[in-house]
Amino acid sequence: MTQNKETNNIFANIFEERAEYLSKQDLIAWSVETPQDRRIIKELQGSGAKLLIGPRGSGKSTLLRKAYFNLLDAGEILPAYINCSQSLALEPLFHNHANALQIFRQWVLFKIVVGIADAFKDAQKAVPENLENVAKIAKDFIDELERGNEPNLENAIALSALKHLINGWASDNGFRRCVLLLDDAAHAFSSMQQKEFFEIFRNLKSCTISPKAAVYPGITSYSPNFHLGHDAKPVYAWYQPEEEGYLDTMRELIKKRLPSEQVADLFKEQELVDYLAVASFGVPRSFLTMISQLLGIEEDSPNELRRSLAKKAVVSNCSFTRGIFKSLSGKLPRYSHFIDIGRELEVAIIKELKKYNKASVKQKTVIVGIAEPTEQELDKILTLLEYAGIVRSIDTVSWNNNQSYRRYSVHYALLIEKNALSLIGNYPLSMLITTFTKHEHKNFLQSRGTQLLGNDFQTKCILDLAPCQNCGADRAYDEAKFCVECGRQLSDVSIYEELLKNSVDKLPLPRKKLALLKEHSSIKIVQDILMDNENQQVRKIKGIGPIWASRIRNAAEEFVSV
Amino acid sequence: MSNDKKWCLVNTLEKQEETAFDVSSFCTSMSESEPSPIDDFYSYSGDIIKLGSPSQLIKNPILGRLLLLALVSGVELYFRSILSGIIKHCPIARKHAFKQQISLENVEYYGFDEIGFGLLEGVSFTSSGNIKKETRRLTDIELKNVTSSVWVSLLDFDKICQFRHATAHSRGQLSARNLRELGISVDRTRSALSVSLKEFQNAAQICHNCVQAYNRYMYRVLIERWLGHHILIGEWDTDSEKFSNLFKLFKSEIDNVAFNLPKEAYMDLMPTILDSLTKTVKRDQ
Repeated sequence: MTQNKETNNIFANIFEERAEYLSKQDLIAWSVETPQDRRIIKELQGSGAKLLIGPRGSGKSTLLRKAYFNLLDAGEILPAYINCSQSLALEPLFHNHANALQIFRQWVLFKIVVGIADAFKDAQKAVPENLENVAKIAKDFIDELERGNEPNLENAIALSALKHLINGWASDNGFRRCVLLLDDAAHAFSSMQQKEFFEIFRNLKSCTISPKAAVYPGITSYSPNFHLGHDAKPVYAWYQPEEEGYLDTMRELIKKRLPSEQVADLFKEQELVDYLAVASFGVPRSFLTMISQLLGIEEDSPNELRRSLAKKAVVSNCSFTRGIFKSLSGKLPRYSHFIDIGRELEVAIIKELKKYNKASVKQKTVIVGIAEPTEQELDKILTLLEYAGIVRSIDTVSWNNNQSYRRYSVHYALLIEKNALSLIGNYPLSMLITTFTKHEHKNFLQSRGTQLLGNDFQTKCILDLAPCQNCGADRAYDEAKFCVECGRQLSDVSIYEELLKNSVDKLPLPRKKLALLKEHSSIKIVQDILMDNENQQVRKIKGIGPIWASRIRNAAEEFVSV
Repeated sequence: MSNDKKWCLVNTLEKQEETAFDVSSFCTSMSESEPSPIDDFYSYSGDIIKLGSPSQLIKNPILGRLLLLALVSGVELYFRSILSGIIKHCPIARKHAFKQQISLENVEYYGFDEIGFGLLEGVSFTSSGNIKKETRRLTDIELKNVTSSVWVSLLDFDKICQFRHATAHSRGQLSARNLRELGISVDRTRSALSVSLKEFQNAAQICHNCVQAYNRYMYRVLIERWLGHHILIGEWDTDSEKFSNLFKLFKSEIDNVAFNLPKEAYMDLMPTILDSLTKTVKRDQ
């Protein structure tokens, strides 16, 4: 299917635009709302602190934005949408400023102020004068920081003072209370920032201020005083393929997003749409990416059979998901050995599931239960896999002889890729779809860490700590600040700055696109993509149109953000 | 029982003996080499940190406390050296410091070049309050931004100084005042200082933060003050001697950041210098 430039631009918007940038109209027009979504949105609009937990692309921003617009429309509660995705750019401060925590704290508080001022504008209400004044200071502070300068903290605002101001801005303008919707709040690899963020979050909570934050499953570092469940209620935003109505939801999503011509074309083979819905493992963003590949609107789509294109899309989704997991080595370098073992764990689980399913023709499963107690190292690996969306935590169950198992489902695209269901020959897609959407939780593979990874796996899980830059001696302990051999201060590089310096090869993008980037532009490292204003350089490359240009930028942004 | 023996029932008299005590044998000449105060601090603290190996700290629970005391002493010397250097190289600070009184003995001992050491005799740098006070007294520079990096580091240093106090004056037993200053509730349990590897390294980090932040801050403030007072005029040939002396006073070779030569640093600052000079000219017009 050949598309002209204009159509490609439209598709770039449809497939690549992120919810946080969509207008209210587009957001409503392009997204679906399940009963579960409505329940979550209600939770987000309600009182109390909540954490919205889900992997990337699971729709957290969509839910937060919908809650925001709903509250604006109702006019009773003052909402503020605050995108914290840039917070990692502040991470280098933690390596050279003793007051980095204060700067970060101010950044969060000032982002809230700007978010509240924007809410007044979005509601087409006059911004209160004192809010406008504080917002001006806040914007200057944020701009200064983003330019890489140390901002002036003389106008710093205390958290208690901000709470007082928020209450005033709300009550003086007829709002009963305020809901703060903090998006992209959890970063995997700056634990100091994370802990400080959750201290702020915990202290913001009051009977008139309800903070909500979107976080990732698995490796979010909470502060010592923050207790999930007690300080904030967890709310899970991640569709489950086995839930009733799941396929309808995903089909509806396409109908909402695509022009009717494409919808009609796609639904000639609805099974393929359902197949991709299952392979997306409940992540709408992955689903839409695979659909774009199936539709052949990729700039380099070959003329192939639909089923073969769909299979390719699934394989591509697998490499993308594994790429996210692999990229954790750069973001959490000390855990690089754990990430290697995590890859082995993924392979071992899938192999065992395949064996299990081969022996059990009628009762196939996609779930693995890991016998408790689990080793500390295995716990860490599982949280890393959960963050990347490779596994999904289900529950803990007690089985025969009171042995308890922690159960996980494995990303369905990975299971499809390796035929872990052990389906024979040229099986009908319906069989695969039914197995994934109708499987019984009571059937699961029972295993344990040593069984999957070998008896010696713990010895391989060692922290990868950089030696002393002066004398090469090993660090005395994980968080050592000085070398005990030569006495020199140990240098800890800024992970953010290191990530920017990474070659573009590290991005989860197809080899072909990476080769085009490197051959036909001066783009070599991740920073080059981020510095490429409006993708101008990337767009000039033959073979990379607007869809891939957006996708490349998104990949770079995600690489350095979460 | 003789009169003497009567008073020896609590502890022995026998082990007390006359000691030939030559105080000069305790003293040695100081080395002539002159690294910048920050590098001098780095190499001294490096020697202290090497003594705090994990095995030694476990073997000897007193060691951590003593090393912490030694670290603070290193920070104190840094402040003496840097303030003395500022008085030597900054004409504004010198003019201000000359209002202070000093004994002739100190002038003779330290000499004119290091007169700042004389002005700081009897002064302790074991609290942020004193550091701020002495900075103002000798340089007329205020450390006033309560949220700046230097201020935050000084507040952390205050806590380490409470531990130093307990070590220096009561073998590590924390007084009620120590606890109050540290923000720890004073309950019935008597507390003593315990410094294992992690605590020792954190204390060393705080000492380093304090020195590094102060060093950066003072360099910046002095350059800005010089620009405001036309001590720097934006021409290397005229500015080189003054700038080089100040740069070398603050520059760390160990940190190995950016420029090693004063001229390179000066050229890098040129846009700031020109910008400031333009503003001053406009203001004067």
